[in-house]
Amino acid sequence: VLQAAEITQRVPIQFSPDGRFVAYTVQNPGRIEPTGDDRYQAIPKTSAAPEALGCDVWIVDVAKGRARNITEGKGTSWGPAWSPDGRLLAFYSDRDGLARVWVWEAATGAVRRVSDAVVRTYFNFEVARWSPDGTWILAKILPEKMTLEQVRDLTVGPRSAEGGAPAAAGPTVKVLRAGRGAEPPKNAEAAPATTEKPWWVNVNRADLAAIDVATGETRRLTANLRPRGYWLSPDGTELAFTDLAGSVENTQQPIYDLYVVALSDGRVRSIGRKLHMAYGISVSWSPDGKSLAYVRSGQMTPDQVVVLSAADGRERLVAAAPSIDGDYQDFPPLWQSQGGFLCLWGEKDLRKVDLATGESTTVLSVDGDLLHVVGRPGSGRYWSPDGGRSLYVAFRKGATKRAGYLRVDLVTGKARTLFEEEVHLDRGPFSTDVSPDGNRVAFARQDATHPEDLWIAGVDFADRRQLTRVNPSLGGYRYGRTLLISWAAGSDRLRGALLLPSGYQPGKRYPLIVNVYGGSSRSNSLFRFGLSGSGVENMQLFATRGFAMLLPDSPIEQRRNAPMSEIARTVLPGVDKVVETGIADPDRLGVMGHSYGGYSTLSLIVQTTRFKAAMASASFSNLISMYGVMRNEASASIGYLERGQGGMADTPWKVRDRYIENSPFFFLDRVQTPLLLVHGSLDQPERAEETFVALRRLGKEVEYARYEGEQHWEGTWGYANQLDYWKRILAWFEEHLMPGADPK
Amino acid sequence: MRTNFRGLSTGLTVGTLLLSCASALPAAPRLAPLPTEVALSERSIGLYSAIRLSPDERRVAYTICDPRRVPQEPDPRYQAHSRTGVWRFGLGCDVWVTDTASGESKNLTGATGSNWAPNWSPDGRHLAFYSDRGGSAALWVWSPESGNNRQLSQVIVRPWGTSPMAWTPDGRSLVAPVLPQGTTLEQAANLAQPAPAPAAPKSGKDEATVTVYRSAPSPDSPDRASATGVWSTEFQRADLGLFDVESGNVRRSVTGEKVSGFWVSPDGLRLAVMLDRGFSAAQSQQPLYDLKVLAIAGGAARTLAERVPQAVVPGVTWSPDGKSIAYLTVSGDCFLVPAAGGPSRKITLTGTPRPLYGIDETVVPVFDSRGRALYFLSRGALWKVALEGGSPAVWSKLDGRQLKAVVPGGSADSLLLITRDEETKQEGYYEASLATGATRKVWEGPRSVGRDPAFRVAAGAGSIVFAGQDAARAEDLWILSRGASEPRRLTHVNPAFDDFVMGEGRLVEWWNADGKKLKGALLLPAGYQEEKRYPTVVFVYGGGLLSDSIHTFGMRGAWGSDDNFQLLATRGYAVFLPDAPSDWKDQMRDLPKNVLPGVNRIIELGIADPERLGIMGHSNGGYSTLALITLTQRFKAAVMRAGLGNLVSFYGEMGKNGTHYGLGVAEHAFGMGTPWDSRNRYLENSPIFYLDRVETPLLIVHGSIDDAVAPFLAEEVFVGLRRLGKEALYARYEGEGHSLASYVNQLDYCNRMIAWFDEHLKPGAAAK
Repeated sequence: VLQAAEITQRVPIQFSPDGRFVAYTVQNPGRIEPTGDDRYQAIPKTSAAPEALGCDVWIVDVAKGRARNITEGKGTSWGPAWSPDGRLLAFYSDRDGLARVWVWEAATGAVRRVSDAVVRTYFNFEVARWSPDGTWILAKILPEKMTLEQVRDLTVGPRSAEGGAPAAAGPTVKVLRAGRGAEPPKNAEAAPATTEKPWWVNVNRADLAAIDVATGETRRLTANLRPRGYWLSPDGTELAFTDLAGSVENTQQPIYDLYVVALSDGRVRSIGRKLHMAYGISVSWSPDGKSLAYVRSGQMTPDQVVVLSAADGRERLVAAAPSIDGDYQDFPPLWQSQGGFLCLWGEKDLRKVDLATGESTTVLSVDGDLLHVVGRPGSGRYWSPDGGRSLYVAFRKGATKRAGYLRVDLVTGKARTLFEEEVHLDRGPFSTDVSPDGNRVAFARQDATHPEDLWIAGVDFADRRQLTRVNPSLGGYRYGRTLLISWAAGSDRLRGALLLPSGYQPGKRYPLIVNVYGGSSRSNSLFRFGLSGSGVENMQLFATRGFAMLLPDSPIEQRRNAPMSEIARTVLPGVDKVVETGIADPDRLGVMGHSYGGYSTLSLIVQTTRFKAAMASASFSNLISMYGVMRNEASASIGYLERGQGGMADTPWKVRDRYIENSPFFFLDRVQTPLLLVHGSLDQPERAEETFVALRRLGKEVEYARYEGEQHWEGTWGYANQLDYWKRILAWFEEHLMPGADPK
Repeated sequence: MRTNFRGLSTGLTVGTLLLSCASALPAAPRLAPLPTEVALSERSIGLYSAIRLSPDERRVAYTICDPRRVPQEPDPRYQAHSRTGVWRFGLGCDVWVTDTASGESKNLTGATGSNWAPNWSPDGRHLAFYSDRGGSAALWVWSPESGNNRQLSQVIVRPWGTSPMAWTPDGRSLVAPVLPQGTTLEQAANLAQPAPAPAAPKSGKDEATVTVYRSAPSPDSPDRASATGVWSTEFQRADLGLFDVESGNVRRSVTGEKVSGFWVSPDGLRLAVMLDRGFSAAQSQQPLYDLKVLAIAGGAARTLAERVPQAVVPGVTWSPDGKSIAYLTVSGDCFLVPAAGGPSRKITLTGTPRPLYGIDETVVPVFDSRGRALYFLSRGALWKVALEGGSPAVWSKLDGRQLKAVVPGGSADSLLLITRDEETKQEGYYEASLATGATRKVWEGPRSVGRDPAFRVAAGAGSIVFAGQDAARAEDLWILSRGASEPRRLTHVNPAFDDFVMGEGRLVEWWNADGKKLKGALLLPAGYQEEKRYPTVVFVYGGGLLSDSIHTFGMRGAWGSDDNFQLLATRGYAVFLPDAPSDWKDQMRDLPKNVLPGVNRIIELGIADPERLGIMGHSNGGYSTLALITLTQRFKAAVMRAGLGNLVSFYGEMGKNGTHYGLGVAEHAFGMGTPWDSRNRYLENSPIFYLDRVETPLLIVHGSIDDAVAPFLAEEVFVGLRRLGKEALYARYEGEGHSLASYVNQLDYCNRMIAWFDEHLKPGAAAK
């Protein structure tokens, strides 16, 4: 399972202009090596995007279903983009040492490097774009007059000599200032200048450039900014882009400046300052090129759509957007091709904003979730089968978690279900595309026993069929089935995805592991293969070894400011429910979680002794020490704790007791559950180590596995470490929940 | 005093200057700021390398260490022993010999490599020392006859602590710790701490890079069982080698143990060893040792005592007849054990025990020359007990004087007591007669005789050589001939200081908030004028008795005061080092009660300007500094070095080798209990929760590989102050540990510290 290839997250798929092929990106976790040094966390050695390591670009023949790896496992290659004439496919690749723009020639199958310019991207979606005439490619490249190491220094500071050879002469000091009197003291001129922006801003340092496909000649369109999203105007004469400016102080609310650059003379004009967006990619051009719309969202912001003049940035319209939570923040407003109205979609609602009147009306509300609106990625428009009146939207039912597509009439608001099945469809627009002739839709689909693949359908999603088989090797196993269970927690009705062990026999009780993540609706993963989005979290690894798995919803009432007890309040009745149904053995319960799920796991085992084994990866237990974490000079947790998921809503000086009462650390003396802690050494291991040291001192059973040179999430780990991680957690739960004997 | 080995390592900012002083004409000292380069280049008489008089007393051997010759070493694995195997206190040192009659001095090792622990053979024909001048640490001998140095063997030595190599009585062989057979220097370094992650994993695809730590190490597991102690003692792992001086052949006796100490029997046939047995409990800083005896050439060892609680550097004494071994425990009890085995005799004393910790309190019992009685320091007095039986009794006691150590005297019938006058802090030497117990003052004066005084004195029949210093004068060797009343200076290690008028020390007294009388060391500004008020920097350390630093040069000494405060005194500051006694359980309660009345006192005396007060401290003193600025706003600038603000997160810090230093400090040294049974005590004593009250600009100084107070503990404070909009400056020194080791970083720090106080306390300005 860990070797299994996956369709890469957040890299758009794309139909060829003639509709004969779909290009997509596949990630092979077995090809990822450990990060090794924290210098390479945000900017890998080759300047590839950190989440795009181990990738290949594939194309699949729509008619014949034949798939082909056009990059053949050399380095990492990702982000395919067809030229307008379909003769070339551009992509990023570090196949010869550094990430650069390459093209594949459809006629010959040959690949060619377009230019020497080093690509500099952070997120997977920052892919190359073609000019309308197909003569140049827009890409994000290393800023002029900067080396890769210099950009890296801006994210982590100059290379530390730790572990290396003795440094050269000269002090090794790094100085940070805070507060009033930030005037440097007189004798401190020797101090190196500190980076003026936090690392997560500086990691975006790049120039947007037009690279001539024939000559490789590079024309820089921006100079030394931090561009994030970029969109060519419909007529191809202008480029809009967002520049990450920082964040609202002490929050996790990023702010962006929006610019337009004229390609003819390179002149840049400011359209908007300090705009509130999450990823800075929720911007779209109006079809006439006269306006730009963006979704204003984030921690500090009411959800709104704003339309600005592309000429001078004047606000033309502000209207309510549908309610959007953190997972929905990165999707731009979608224009009707005729430009009469804008469509916006959020968690549950589809809204239409009339551009003439400014009126914002809800077209559709679902009991469940909206997942995406079908359109061509990056186009800023929805795709309509009937000239703009209707669109396709993916949904998931709340009560059953079944998913499918609706055809929605934007005028009448009528919605027709095109299909609804026990499947999982992706949230977000990246893994859906429409053929240029509009006759076919490609989309990603998976279910509880089948990993994600691309499927293709005709008009109105008729004739759906599987297009790719990314993982033929995953057939032939008996996978566990999933079922949805529900329970009451106070006045809330909560649900959970229950994965049965393979070969489940009714009437027999099984060991149960609860995979917890406070604040999430984990039941939404019911029809995901392995209940997760990634091989490294594939719960079938447990199910095929005789465990039942529960992924419970755990909504947290933010206003209670008590996440620790909220997690117990919501999750424990779900566990009761699985015991009641006769599936789980109450004496063989385990619990596990990652990141905030690790915190959730620790929160549970200080409040109940019913679990016989626990595993917390990338966890933390002490919100006070968490508050003070500094990463690459930036305060890493303040916004998180004061405004975000941490749920404290204020500083430790104002609400000290709240921090303490929600820190499992202070209650570790109550733990009776053997605990396995897992942490990457580049992920502030001190946060896990204080839990370990405390439990060891208290004489509790605890084990701590520290993975050298690894980051926060196991999905980014080297393959050998992923394998070790799984062997270790399986052995841990087998040791404690399956002591040799048959289930009772 | 609850320092420990690690705490000790903090104090060592020692310096030198490579200048030729012979031609320098004495010039009148001038009133000018002491350049930081000069202060930091101070050469020092090596710490823990004993001063050794030759048997004929014609020569004295010692080391002089040059801080500019200490290499930068960012790799935490090489903090205890360097890459070439040099014990950290030997780095950058040279072996010197001075003619006691003429004062003529000679550098035997000529600034090549690191050279330390000189030790005369019993016949005086050889001077053995350790050196890496041949590439890696090895045993060398210098011959006074030929004047040549000779490397005895290629075998790599592995000494640590205070024990040098030991001569056999016949002068033909030497015993020294050596690297375990088949081990490289890097492998030995990896024992103390797993190697840092390789920048590029060698076989990333095939090999996991996991380290597993368990609450209870499983013996069957191939995973590395983690250390559970408060720090790792793996750096002690060694074989004992018996070196033949003629041939250089080496025979190994003890192999692969953690050898904490070794002593050759008087007949030269046996060895007593103390082997490390870990700590008395997971949270304890109390080391335990097994005492064993074996034949000097190796063979089976007999265990004489198990789990003996002693200081970080243990000590035992052979009786003159070689039939018994005596040692003291930390509680001040004395034990006498037959070397051939059999029941030991415990000599328990009455009175309050004074626990002993730290290298500087290595105390061993002393036998008289005929082996009839045993003498030892305990409970502030010299005790005598007859070996044939009977109760121990106080033999010698000096009213009003603390007995710091006892060493063999120059004659068979006397012992030399190293003393400190509790009232004046004057230090000196008294001779105690073994026959009568009567004491006689040898010499006493307004000087310090060192932090490790037992290693800084050599008593011969005709003279005593010792290292002395005072507030305004750097350390030198002095010689006191028998019968003379005043010592004569034998060396002139740092002539560069002669050019400057230094500040003088003054002892001040006050009553703390509980009515207890306390003392403080006040370093006056150079050229101090009465009636004038000066900006004053308070150097603080909760629980420390800092007035003991009154007679050390620049008020350096224990409690992390490793800055030469003459840097401030020659720039117009007064520096105040107050006693701040505490049982450490509630430092935030005790600190203001002790320190603030002391500050009031120096204001009352008309010396300190109340509007221009600064405060600083190192380690627990950094914590104390932060604590005080959350409790009062009277300080205008503060410096926290290697400090912390949150005792809960300090409690949870873990070393890469699995050690939990902070937990040991909080529970054992501070006696605070656990965060679960004493949560409020942890919270109430954590300044982090009171940062919103801080009005004092704070400079935070920390080393990136500090394994005592991890840098994240300083960063919590900086992040908190930054969040609150307070003025703070955080200087993080890459590749530096709990104290700054490299000259360039020391220089940067000192300039920065001075600039910080200059900016906020404006020493040039007139007092209000």
